[in-house]
Amino acid sequence: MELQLGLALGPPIHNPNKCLDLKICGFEPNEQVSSTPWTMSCVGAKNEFHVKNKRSSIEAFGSVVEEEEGQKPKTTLPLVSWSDQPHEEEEDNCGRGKICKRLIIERNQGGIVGWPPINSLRQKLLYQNRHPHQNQHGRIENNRTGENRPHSRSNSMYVKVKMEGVAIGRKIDLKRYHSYQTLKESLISMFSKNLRSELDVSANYTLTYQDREGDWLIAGDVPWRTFINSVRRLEILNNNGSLYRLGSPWFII
Amino acid sequence: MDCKRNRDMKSPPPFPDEVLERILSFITSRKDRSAVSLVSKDWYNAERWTRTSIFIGNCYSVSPQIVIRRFPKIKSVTIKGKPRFSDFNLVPPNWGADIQAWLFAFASAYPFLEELRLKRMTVSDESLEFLSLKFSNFKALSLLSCDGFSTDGLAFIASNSKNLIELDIQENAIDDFSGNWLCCFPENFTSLEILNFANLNSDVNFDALERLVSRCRSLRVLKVNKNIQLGQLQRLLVKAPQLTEIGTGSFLQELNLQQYAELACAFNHFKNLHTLSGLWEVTSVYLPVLYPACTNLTFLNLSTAVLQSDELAKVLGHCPRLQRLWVLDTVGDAGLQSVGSSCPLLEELRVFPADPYSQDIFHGVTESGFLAVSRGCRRLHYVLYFCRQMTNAAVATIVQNCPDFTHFRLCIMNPHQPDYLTDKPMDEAFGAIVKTCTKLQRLAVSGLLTDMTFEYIAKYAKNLETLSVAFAGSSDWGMQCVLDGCPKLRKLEIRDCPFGNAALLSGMERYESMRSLWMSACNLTMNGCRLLAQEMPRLNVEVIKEDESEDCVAEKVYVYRSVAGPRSDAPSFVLTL
Repeated sequence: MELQLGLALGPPIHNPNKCLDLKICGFEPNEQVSSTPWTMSCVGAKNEFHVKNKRSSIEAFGSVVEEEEGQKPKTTLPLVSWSDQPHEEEEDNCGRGKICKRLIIERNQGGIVGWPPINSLRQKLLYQNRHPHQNQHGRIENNRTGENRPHSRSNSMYVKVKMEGVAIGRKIDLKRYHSYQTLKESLISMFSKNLRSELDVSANYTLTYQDREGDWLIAGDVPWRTFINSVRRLEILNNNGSLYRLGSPWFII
Repeated sequence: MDCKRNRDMKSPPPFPDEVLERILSFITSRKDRSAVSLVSKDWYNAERWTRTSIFIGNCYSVSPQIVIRRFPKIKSVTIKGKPRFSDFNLVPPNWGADIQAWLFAFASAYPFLEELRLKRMTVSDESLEFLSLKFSNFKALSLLSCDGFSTDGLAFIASNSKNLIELDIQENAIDDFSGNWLCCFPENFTSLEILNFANLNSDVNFDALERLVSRCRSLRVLKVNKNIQLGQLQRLLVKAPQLTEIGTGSFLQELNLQQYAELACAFNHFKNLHTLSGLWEVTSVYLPVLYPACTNLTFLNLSTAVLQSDELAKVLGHCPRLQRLWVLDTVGDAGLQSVGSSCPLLEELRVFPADPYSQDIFHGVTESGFLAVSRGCRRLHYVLYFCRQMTNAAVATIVQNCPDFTHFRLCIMNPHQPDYLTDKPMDEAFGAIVKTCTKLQRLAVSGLLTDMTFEYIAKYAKNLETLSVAFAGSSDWGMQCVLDGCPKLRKLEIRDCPFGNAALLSGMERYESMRSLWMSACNLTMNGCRLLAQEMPRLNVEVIKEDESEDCVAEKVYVYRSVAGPRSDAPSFVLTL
């Protein structure tokens, strides 16, 4: 079950309180981690997919699902669950063979950081094995020269980032990120002085990128890995009318 | 202990130091040497003067100064740096483990250093240049999973290390500017015995390589990268019939009949070949050229070759003596069946996923492949198996067939996946493993697991040294069990499990007898880690904070014992508590 997820830069509309939720501090043996999509200090934001037990929040591309003991999980986003198993289980039932609720975005090329545990060299080899002479757009590509994938061998991948209305562009190393969420948080931090209001970022701005064919697309529609392989430049656009010049529909859930 | 008593009674030691040292110089095992050094002060001294090879499992557990002070006569150094999960992008770049400080110390203390073997260390080109210039007797460089250098650094080694015997560059994340480094070996350089550049990407100058291979008559290991074509490989092989380990380049080039015959002839000469790897882009047309060379093969690494089951079956038919096999899961269960039937001497099997990110369960291997191997290969003791489905019953049968497992690393690729037939957790599978395999040293668990798994491990896995846990467990109790019940545990690495501060702190006393603990995406907080750091001053408790995240959450925690105190080179995102 694949979904188009709109990558709002802000919190989900249904749960405005979550965005301002403050951290729980102080030492407790079974501390809850409350992670929201909004605060830049999100724990879960580092990973594309952050798996926690049922007591903690699970973050997925801008939505928050919280399971607290005795409460029914509130989801507005139907997210892909694991192996099509029923997913409204309590942790205690694990022993009886039912799986606990775990949410994931897309396993194919967009999954958990560092899982399955295959080292990066082998991952590169696998990619090359799957696409020996052809990239996903169907063009023949000699991957031996590697010109079309300048980032395939090195540790960093700097792309230019420009924000509409801001004179000076910046550069960002995309290799440091594994998800749209962490990327956006970094960008927000980078351009924080230029944002009209941090709380309304999603309403006012959209992240777009230019792919290797020169087309400008909205960031977030394709799996992260696909994005990384084709992105050449980033631009943050104002939502006041600029979006429509791209001509692409913008899904917001 | 007689020595000590004698000294106390003021009588001379039973034999002079020189004799003791001579005797101890025969002891090579690290563990034995460690034991020897604890006997008495005399033995400690004799041991330190006779140790020539040192192994440092965690570069931050000790400082270069402490090492050189204790061991004055080291010729060979092995150092491991970053936590293992850095292989899977869980450790940010620039974390540390730089070799340079070590090299500075070694340059003054061990100017005659001969061997340097590094794993997961950061090595700069400047360091490689330094190494090549400061150590005139340098013989062997092995870099595994390292980063920070480029082919320019290799050029320094090639140019300046006149006595080089081994250059082994494996699985490193390096900048590959060009293959010209190979041309830097001087024309009068002939000592090379081991050359492995299989994982570099750029073209090397083939003429320089051919000349190098021709003049290094002692070359026994040659592993080229995939830019070397079949025709070129043939030319290299005829120049080096003494090779015992070959890593081929690409197996894709179209050959005419004569070229094919020449290639087959070249392989035909290798009756003493024991290791074969490479075979990138191999097609079944060219596989037969390898068959004559496989008679004495003990290690076949097909993990970069996309083979189907029938192709594998044919190859294995020619490898009766195989002990270690690495394959891709494209060979399927049918391919593994042929492993079971053709390789009775097999001791190690690694099955890597060709398409790990796909959820399609119709690819790859299942429990039946593993079962088939276990039926035919009773000596199997090391397995690394990536699959998408497994059952408790299958694992129980597998370990009945092969009770001698020392390393069992099972990766069911979907996290939290239960036994697909019974829908139960995989607890009983790992229970069976630890109950039956009393020699088990290393275990990696996966699938849906409750605390029961850890109860089993604690109760039965008394020889366990390394445990890797991901997406498993129900509560702190699981981790507490393991810390309490596995006396030989040295390395514990955990990710995405519901273990919190209570679990972390329950192992306080344990960590000093372990090499390290890694916990990421668990339920740890900064306060919990601070408490641990406070109570256990001889541990380094480090938290990796990747941006201005919530103050109280400890997302990635690395705890290790150290006699060198806290790191002095920690980057800003590593907080030492």
